[in-house]
Amino acid sequence: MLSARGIAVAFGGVKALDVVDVEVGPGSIVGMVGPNGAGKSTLFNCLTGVVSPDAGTVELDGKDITRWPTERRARVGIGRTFQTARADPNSTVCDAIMTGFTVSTRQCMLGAFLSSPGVRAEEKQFKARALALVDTFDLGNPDALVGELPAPHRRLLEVARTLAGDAKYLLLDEPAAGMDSLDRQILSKVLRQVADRGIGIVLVEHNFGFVLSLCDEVTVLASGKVVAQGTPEHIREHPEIVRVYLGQGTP
Amino acid sequence: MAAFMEYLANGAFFGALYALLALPMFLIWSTTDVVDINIGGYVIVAGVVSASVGGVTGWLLGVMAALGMGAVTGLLFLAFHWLWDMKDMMRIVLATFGLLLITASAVQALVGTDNLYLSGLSGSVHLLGFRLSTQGMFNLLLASAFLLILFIVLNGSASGLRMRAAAASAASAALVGIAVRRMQFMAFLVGSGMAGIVGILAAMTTGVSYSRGLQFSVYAVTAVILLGLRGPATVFLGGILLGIFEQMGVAYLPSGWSQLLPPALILLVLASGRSHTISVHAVRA
Amino acid sequence: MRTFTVLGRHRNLLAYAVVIGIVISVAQGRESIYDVGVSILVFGLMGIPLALMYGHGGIISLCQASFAALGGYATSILTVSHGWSAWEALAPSILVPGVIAYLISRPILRLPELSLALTTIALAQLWYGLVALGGDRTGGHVGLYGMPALPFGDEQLGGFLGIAVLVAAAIWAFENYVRSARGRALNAIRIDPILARSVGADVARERALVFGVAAGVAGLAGWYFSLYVGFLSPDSLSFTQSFAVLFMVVIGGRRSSIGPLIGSTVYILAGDLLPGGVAQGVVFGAMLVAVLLLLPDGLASLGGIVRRVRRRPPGSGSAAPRDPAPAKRERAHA
Ligand SMILES: Nc1ncnc2c1ncn2[C@@H]1O[C@H](COP(=O)(O)OP(=O)(O)OP(=O)(O)O)[C@@H](O)[C@H]1O
Ligand SMILES: [Mg+2]
Repeated sequence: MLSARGIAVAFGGVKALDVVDVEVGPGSIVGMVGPNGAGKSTLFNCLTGVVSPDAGTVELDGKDITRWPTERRARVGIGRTFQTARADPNSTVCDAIMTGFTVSTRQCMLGAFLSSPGVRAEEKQFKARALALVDTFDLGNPDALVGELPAPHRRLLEVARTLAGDAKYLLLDEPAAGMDSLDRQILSKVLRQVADRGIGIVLVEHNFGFVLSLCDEVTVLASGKVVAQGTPEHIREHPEIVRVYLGQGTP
Repeated sequence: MAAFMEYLANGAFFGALYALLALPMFLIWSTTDVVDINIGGYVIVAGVVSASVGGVTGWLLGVMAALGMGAVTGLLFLAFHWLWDMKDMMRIVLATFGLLLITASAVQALVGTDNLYLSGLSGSVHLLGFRLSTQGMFNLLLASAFLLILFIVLNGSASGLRMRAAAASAASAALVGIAVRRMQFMAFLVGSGMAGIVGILAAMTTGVSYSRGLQFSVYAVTAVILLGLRGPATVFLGGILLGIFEQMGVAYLPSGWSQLLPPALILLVLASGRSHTISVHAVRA
Repeated sequence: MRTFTVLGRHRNLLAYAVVIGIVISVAQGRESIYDVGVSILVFGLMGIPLALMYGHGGIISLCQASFAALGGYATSILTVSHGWSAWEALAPSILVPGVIAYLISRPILRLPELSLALTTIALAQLWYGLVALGGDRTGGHVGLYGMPALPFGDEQLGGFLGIAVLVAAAIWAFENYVRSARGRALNAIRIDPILARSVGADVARERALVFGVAAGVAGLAGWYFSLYVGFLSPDSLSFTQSFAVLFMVVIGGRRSSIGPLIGSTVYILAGDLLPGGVAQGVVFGAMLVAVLLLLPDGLASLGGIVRRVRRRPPGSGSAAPRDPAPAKRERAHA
């Protein structure tokens, strides 16, 4: 269980998060929706330690990890993507995915310089897994440069890199932005499979339909506050949501 | 005590040149994110041109030469941005290093390796029992005047406001319709002009030779970071302080040790964790 | 294309070995050629770890020659004043700069790139001043001499081969590292520290280790240099040389294992051919500006650019891949 309790973050005068609680358990997909500036990305930054909250705690399986640095959280199984794709545009697709193995590598520095048998064996295994991920997400040529990929594919690549890290919890910041229905199908299929393996997923997404169809639970944020929280059925009925989102026919 | 006060005054007088050089360094740094290492090049070019020509014509030609070089640096800066999506500003900084190398060699080829002097104000004034050099006092006064002018221009005039906006955030400035690139080019131009004036003053005070370009640049950088990249007044004060430190080092440290002072200062300032004052823009996740 | 895949990761090493072979067969025992070759390779040995550190890790350093000097002084002092042999001095000459660099790196490597460059300049100046003030211990401004000869046989060829092998090892280790998980982490740190941390990289440790290793390898170059020349003064390996090393890395290619060697070849040969300091300053300055502006990854990237242009048929510019549909659907139907 990854949970955030009573998180508050202010940037200067802006209250990006104003006492927010969220949690995600193993195997469930939690959707996170809300208008621009609602604080969704800031919440991810708190969960991963990029931003330290002014108040509130972050817990992983009952352990308080609020003060842990980002890399330590990554090593206990919190993986994420970023809203703006961050992979190096000049590296190959395969290398970019393999960056995700950083968290689980057992290579020591000397071994890496000397290319010891252990390092070579591990690299071979990493490579095979990366190629499998390229296939899963249908990313085409693994030796193509990331910069040459269309933007939606770059987002899929970010998800693939995060999956490479064997995270127990995945935080995905608008992974489906700009995707056509085919890419979206791939994504939702993979995410379902991943969740069925017992991995908890938090998914930020602007497309309400996508979230409601995929997620087990949905949190609606606005101006740093939780407006609604519950199952998709519950959210669909929620008067506020119907008025603000569904009523106005937001895509 | 009297000796101490004289060192102090002398330090401030030398520091006036560093302070006057810290202003353009700061202006360029904050508007373009580039530390223009060629700034020492503007100084020596203006210095040797004014010293070789002499007189008021010399001053004018010296400043004009510096302006021309500032324009070259500015154009190079624009070329980088035109050709690439520049995130790695260090590349431009290294390129200004290359420009300085060219400048220094060209100066050496044209006027040789001698230290060239320009006749300035001679003599000294006795004030409260201290002997103060007239040229030094003039340097300090002129530098202060420039600080005042820069202050007024940055805070009062429309173009000053635009420049400050461009410095605060190039992206937001562009959004509100400020021609950021033009502002940045202007920063190089204005900066090189001010550095040119430093060159003329330096030629009057200590003389100028081809080999001092890098030293001037390093001193300007040190002055800027000494108290942090906060504003014109702060970097100006940094320059004055640097001059005072330097004089005190020469006066009170055993010979040889005083040259360790500037690098030790830089290390201290940078390693003391005040580094956040160095980066102009915060990282955003 | 095929040959490149067959040679795999060590094609740079092979190219290097071929060049060394050609040099030896052309030199025919001529001392002057070996001398030039040794200069190129000593600078190369300082440059290769800098390429790893700067080109891959984004850590810029203007004190690489100072670390070499640290190794050189360790060698000189141990051999001259304490009677150690050249081999015995090898480990200290690597470890002293390596460990010192690692220890001082924690506070300074937190700095953004530019301040880091300044800090390394300051370090170099400080070290220079301290050596000059060192009195009898370091020989002050005069320097130290009387070191034993290189332990690679008396022949000129032996000395040349010794450094050639060290450089080969550096190229080999470089190529291995950049293809390991550690190398990818290093690159991730340069591109985006936040991303690097979110995939579990310990940014501070990773950078400090690379900084330390680079200093250690520079110390190795200093070991070789001080024994080869038999003399070491503060000016032998000073800020000028540190800047030269960075210059070579930038000119030759900061991301390539042989870029530093290309750069040092250009630097040393141009330095020998050009008349006097003035012409050198103008030419080197202009080269630096031109390469930074037009070829950010240096001369070594020319090969890759040529290959890419050849591979891509004309007309399929950067516009094609932007369109999401074609590549993907083709693959789906294939
Ligand atoms: N590093 C920062 N410094 C200052 N303000 C910030 C910072 N990060 C976020 N904010 C502000 O906090 C608020 C929440 O931003 P956040 O990026 O979390 O929103 P979001 O829900 O992810 O929006 P979007 O849908 O646009 O991605 C916004 O007002 C934003 O401007
Ligand atoms: Mg967001």
